[in-house]
Amino acid sequence: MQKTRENYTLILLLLGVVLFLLSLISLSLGRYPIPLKDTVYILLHPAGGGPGDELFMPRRVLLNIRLPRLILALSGGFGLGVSGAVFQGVFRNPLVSPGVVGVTSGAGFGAALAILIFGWGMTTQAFGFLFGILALASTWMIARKSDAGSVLVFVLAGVVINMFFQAMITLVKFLADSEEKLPSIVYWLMGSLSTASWKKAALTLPVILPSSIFLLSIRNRINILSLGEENVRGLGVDPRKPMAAVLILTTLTISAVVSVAGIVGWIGLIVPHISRMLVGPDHNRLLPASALTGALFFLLIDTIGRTISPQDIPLGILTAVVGAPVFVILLIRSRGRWAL
Amino acid sequence: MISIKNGSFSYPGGPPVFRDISFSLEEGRILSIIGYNGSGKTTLIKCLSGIQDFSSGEVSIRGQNSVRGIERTRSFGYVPQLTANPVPYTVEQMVLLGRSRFLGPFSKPGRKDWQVIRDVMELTGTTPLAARSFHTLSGGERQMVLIAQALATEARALIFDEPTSALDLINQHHTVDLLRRLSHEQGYTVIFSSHDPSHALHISDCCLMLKKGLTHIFGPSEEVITESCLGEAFGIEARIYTHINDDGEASKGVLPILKPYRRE
Repeated sequence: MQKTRENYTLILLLLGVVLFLLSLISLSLGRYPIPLKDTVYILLHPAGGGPGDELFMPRRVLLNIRLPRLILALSGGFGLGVSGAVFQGVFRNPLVSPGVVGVTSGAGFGAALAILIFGWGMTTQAFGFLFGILALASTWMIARKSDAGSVLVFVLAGVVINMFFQAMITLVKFLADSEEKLPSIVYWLMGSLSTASWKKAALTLPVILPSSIFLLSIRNRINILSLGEENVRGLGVDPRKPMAAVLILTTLTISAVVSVAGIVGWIGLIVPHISRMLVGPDHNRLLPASALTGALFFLLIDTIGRTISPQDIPLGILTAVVGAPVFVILLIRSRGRWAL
Repeated sequence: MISIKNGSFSYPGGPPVFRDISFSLEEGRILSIIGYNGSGKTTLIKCLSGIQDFSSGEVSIRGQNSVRGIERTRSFGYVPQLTANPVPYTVEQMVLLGRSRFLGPFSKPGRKDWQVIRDVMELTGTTPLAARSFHTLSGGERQMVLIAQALATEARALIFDEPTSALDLINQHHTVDLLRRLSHEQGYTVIFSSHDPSHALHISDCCLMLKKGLTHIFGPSEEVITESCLGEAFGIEARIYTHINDDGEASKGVLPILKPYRRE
């Protein structure tokens, strides 16, 4: 027991260090490369001088463009990592993710609708949340009505809801003004942080961080909920309130991420598996590890996406290219059960 | 004292699963609930333990009337039927989950919780399994872990849903013997369901037998588990045999009478 506890601390520490280093590297990379030394200097002295300052341009690029983007990537990955692990826990199913049960496409539809009507803003998240919850509730109800507890039915219900909201997203695209709004909606949906700004960070971070941190703080409850409704009651705990809290908080997190970064699939599915390999299935350890791994994964993907070609490659494409094979390997290795 | 008056249950819009069940059980005693498959044993166990509520009827526990829902579940340690938990926790984590009712949403297990789980793992012989994954255990070992989990709730009454049905002969014996010791040596009130009347006859003080046509009999096990009642309840002829060992102690068992066949 003592040894594994040390390993766990070591793994978290290691993830933290890698995350820190990758953040610095990511800030210095891009179409306008900034030497690592200057990056660190600018971060330590953000005020700087006027236009005469030799670091004037790098400072503007770093502080106005890359730093908000970095913060959004880190917090988005953090949120998706936590939500993904929580989902697999409370739905007692390693194949479940916010994407699979339709929350992501529901939130995507809500956010797209809001962008179509109001343009990007507070309403984007609000609509995303509303339709995300609606999608999750629909999947949940279908699964309960037909065969409560069946993994297959739950996943299939998710597929149905997913397809429905994908069609609704297509409807929004169809209705969008093809000159102006359509390209921006299409590009945003593919998943991208290229429009990251301090404004977007200011609107989404106050949603993502408190929700994820609250989920992290009740992680012992996730262990209990993962036993299934009847057994939870058998242990003398009422599952309804914590379950509702968990579903609302995860959906809030996901809709906030979707509103700013579009539909970025796979992270919520893959990251918990990778983290489980590192620290085991106990949610007390899994959630913090999944949060850090998620942040790392998101940042890595975003950094690759904006550096390997002159134009930003949409995140959705990159996560699928990495995620699909990784998931296939996990599926085969675990034969559909929990990867050990 | 745990007593039920006219406990009935039916799913909304469905026929009754059981009807007007009444009994009372003194503390420290063993109650067995026996009946054929589909007689409503599992539903009754769930209603008793508070996992579900009776559709109608009164439950009183230690003089407190109509204890409902989560409140009632906290009077019991519940041992579910043996199924694999989908999340591959270690044995220690599984037992620790028994402490859930004492932990607030934000709190983590403390010194007292670890002390309790050390004790109950000792009692159930699961200490050597502590670091193993629940998935890799045999049926008998899993049963012991689930019992340890229920003991960790520190409830003085334990409810078991078919604790022996998934086990081989020797593990059935281990489990039944543990139930007996928990009652005789530690003073726990024990309620268990079974479709094997031998176990009921072997250790239970009282027996509730669920019969066809939504009827039941309740009474001291020796009076309820008789050849004629078994015939009515299970629809099969059975004999009750007594084995006397070298020390002159008697143990009883139920043997169904099967139709003899001879190969032509």
